[in-house]
Amino acid sequence: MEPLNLIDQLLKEQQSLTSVERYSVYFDKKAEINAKPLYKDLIPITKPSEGEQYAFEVNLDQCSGCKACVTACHSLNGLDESETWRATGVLVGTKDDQPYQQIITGACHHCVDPACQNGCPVLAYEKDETTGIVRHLDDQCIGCQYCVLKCPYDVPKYNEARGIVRKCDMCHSRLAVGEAPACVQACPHEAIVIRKVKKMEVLATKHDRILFPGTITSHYTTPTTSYVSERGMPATVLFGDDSKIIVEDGHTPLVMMLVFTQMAAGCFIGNEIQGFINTPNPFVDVMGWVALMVGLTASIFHLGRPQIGWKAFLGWRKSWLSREVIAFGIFAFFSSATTFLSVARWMTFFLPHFLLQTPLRESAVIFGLASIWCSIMVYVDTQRPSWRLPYTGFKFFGTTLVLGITTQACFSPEWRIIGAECFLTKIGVETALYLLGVLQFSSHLERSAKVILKKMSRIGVARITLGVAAATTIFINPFIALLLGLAGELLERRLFFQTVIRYRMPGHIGS
Amino acid sequence: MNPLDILTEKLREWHGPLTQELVKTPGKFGLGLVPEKSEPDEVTKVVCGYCSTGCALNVHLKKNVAVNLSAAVDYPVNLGMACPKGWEALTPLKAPDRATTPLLRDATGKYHEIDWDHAMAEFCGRFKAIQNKYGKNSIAFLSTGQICTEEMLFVGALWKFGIGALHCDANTRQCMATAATAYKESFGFDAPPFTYQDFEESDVLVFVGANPCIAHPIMWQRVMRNPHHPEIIVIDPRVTETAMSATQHYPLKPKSDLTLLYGVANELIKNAWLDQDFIRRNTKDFEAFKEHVKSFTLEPVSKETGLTPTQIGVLTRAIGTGKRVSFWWTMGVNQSHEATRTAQAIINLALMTGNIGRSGTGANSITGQCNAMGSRIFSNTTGLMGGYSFLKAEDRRKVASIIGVPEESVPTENSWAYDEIVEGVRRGEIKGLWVIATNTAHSWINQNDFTALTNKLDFLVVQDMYGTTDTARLADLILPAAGWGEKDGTFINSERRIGLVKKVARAPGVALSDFHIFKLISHYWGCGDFFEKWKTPEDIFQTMKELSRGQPCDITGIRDYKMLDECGGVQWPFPTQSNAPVQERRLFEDGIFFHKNGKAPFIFETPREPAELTDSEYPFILLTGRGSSAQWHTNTRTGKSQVLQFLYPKNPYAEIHPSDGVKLGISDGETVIVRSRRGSMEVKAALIPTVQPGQIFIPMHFAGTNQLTYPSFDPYSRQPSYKHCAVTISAISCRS
Repeated sequence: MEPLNLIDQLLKEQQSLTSVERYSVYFDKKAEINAKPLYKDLIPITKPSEGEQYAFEVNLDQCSGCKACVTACHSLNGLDESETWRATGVLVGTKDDQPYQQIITGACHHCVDPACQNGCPVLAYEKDETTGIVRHLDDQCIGCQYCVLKCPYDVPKYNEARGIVRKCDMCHSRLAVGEAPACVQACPHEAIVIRKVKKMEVLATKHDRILFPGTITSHYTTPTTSYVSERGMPATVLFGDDSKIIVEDGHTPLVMMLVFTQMAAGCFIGNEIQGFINTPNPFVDVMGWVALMVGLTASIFHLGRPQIGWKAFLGWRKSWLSREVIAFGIFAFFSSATTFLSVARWMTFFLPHFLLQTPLRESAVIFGLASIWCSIMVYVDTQRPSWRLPYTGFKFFGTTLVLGITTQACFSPEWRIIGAECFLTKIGVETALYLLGVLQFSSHLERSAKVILKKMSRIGVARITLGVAAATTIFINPFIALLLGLAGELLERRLFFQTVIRYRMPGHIGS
Repeated sequence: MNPLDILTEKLREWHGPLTQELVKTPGKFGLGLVPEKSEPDEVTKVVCGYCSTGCALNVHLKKNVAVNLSAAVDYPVNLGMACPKGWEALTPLKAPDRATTPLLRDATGKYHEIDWDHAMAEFCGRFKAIQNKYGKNSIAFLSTGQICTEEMLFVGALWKFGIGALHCDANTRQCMATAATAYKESFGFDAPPFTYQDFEESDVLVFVGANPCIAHPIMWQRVMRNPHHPEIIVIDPRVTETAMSATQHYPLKPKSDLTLLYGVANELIKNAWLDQDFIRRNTKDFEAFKEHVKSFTLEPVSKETGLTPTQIGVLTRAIGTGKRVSFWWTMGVNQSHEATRTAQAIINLALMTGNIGRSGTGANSITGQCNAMGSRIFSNTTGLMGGYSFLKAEDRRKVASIIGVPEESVPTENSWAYDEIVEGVRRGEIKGLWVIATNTAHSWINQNDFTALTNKLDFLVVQDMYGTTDTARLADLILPAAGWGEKDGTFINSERRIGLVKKVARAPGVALSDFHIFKLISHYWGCGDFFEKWKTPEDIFQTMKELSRGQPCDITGIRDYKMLDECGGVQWPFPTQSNAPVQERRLFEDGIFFHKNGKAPFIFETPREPAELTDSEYPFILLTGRGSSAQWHTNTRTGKSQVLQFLYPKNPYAEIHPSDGVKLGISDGETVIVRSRRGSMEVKAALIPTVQPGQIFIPMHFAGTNQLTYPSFDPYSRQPSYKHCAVTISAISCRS
């Protein structure tokens, strides 16, 4: 007996695969789809007619929380290792004095007025005319992830490997051939079905509807999914992870873009005003222009597929992001022209008179302000309370002021006092909002304050310190103050992103 | 369209390589559309390797290798469905931390890759040396309910007949020993009597200590298909997912089940809700039982259980007046200090109301692991393989002759149970331990104690798919094993259905199936000749058939694996016959049990208190159990799937009642420390009212949970009582 031979023999046996040869191939290649009888009642027999669309209906009484729907969707759609298009969570509370818990499953709600589609700068979404399915055009996507911010239901998911988002498409190719979506097929209790709904009806009642307690009311996007239950759900249920303190993504490229472009706008605005008092300072133009270039370059790093980022103007009709891109483009043009002329004049180059007369800086200012307005609206349009107009407007215009004024103060000492005042005012208001949150003045303020207190206290303290330092150093060395203030604004913007309280779907207990 | 729109449309890419990646194509073979990139050229059915439901999965093959899977439609168990673990069954096979080569630990604790020849020399050499020094029975193995029946039989024969060591057990001790013991005593054989069709035909389903919504989701499918608007009764201290679907929920005090069941029996007798015919014809000792439960009147029972007399009355009425009452139980019963008597109390209720043997009835223990049933009958651990007894000479003779080993090589005594083996290590009597496909260092009760005890061993071998399990990290020698889907064999599910697992993937590196590893060991040990005739798992299957001949589990009518594949699995018994197997069969339809006189005895005992009671220092009862349908036990497999990870909270948490939260001054989501006399664990507090005040629940999937549990065992089944110990909760005073 040679031991080695046995080992090799066993290894050889282990590696040989013969299932197909050994077992009767009784799976007929041409066989009828054997699951069809199981789900024929779970999808509509006929396609939606004019004014109708497909919609998910989830029967909560039938859902036992097995979560097979998530894994079936994953396997039958060939998703990546860590990619899911459906998600589950739980609602807990009490009903008639009895403990209550209910698992929730959700995918895309194929809204009548989809926020993802409205926000997409490159028109990478299309709500199908016939089926109402909101489809994502993967090859059109530039990976800007605005739809991720816009959707209040956590539906589009960024796929880092590909640089695009992907999301549930209600298995449109299955429905097209009379097969049920993967989740519908996979639910052991037939809790997920596809119905046809009348779009007008859903729209008409959107203000009175909500998917279930804790989600945003349906007026924003008019989701078409219905969650039905004969048992009934208590109105006081909370998400299983309601108390979870979530630190959102920091979006560093966007932090850079917003702060630097706002500094740029502030420089040109400041220089325009300086032009009324004295003469515009070409160095301020240069610093503003450099800031703008830094900001716009940084923004490209936020795109998953920057090579087709130039298409971002396409969505101008409905997307504030498109409008922001267009406004920045024009701002960049006018700011470049202004700076060029400003430097040329300073270097005493001869310039033709008409160039000196053209209102370049005025145009730069107008489009700078327009850009900031678009930037603000990009976030306001997500409907998130933390990002409402007063908060976002104050912060973004605030950044414009403090950095623009401080840049000007580097060259004109008269600006120092107002610079310090602006810094202290901005810090003061930010701190007041935090304290209002600590005092539980409103839900989203309270939750945001908790994020800072429990997870980001060092950043919060640093931000305040830098702002105060800028306000004081401006009297000693405004250049240093500018750097400190810039750092402080970058931290403020980071907190803006990381402490936002988003609308979402429920998670699990103990998450 | 205006020119602007036309230009816009030109700039929209509707097709391209990214879109192409998600294109679907008809899968043929009865599948619907499948992702084009994993379109199969063949499909085959494989029974899932997780729980005992035994769902069949359609494995999509490309050149004999699995590329995807979906749930099988034409299989009597799951009817087109699977739970998330089954859907993700292929993913754990590809984990980067698969054990790919044998590993040997040196004196400094570092692991070295070695080849099989070296590994086998080490295995045999060191175990033999221990036996020479400390005696034949100074080595033991702890095996599992999750490898193929053929493999269980092989290692059981190898150990006891070939190597001649006595002590061995499996992790079935942690989950099914109680049911097996209870059935053996009550029915005369370890025989779960039901078929899944019974879920659909019962009008009153009583679930005791079971949460099928997340533990056996596809069995729950059958309950939901029940067209009779059945009473669904859940007896469980928590408002579980299953309790939410129940028509009646009884949140009794933990471990007061036995008292409740005797109380219900007493009420049934008082109301004459009995099947006297059945009692007379098919049972014995009823009068003694009647006398025993006389003192379990409503008042004391209500006090013990925390349920009102009205509640107990309603429960009794449902059981007493139901036409086809079925009782189902899992770990709430099996894991208890008086587990066997509790299981038998359930059996008693079924017997006295004649709810056994008819469709939709039964005292039905739902098994946990995919092949615990196989372990119970064929593993040669607790009982002599084939459902025989080591203590009976004629059984030993029969088995020896079928296996082809000398009669003297069959032990004449029973071996130690799991906890006794652990005690043997403590006393220094067990010096060598072989752990096969189970994760003792995570799942054994009073975990810190076991981990410390491994230091007393001279040699610890772990045979597993992963070298990274808690137990493998303590091993001296790691043997890399192939997993589910990388080998052929059979599993036996909860309804006694023998199903087929097939090799549809290649094991990584030089990992070998347990069958091959046992072959190698037997060869190197020098007893290879005994097992020469077992060249493939199917050869062992033929041996299994022979062993079963004439037994209640007779499977001589199953020709071979191919027949199992074609029939959609076959339930035992299926003795030699020309008919095709009827798909859904139950036991005891003739009322005759497996005792000599065919009568099932009523077995009962006075209830006792649990071993560790709460007190002022440790005022909370710790309940443990399954956390979600996406986690399997110690999570060594399910934890490898990123999709499954989305379906449960990653970090340890405890369900605590909100009023206790207020008393303790902790808020929802806060990290707290749960402490018992044996260990402590940091968890996130989830304040929800589904657990009762004074009780907390922590899922078993977290490594820390068993550091808290108290090592109490049922005296008859020796199954650990995981669900009752005393703990205290405190906030963490300073945050890290």
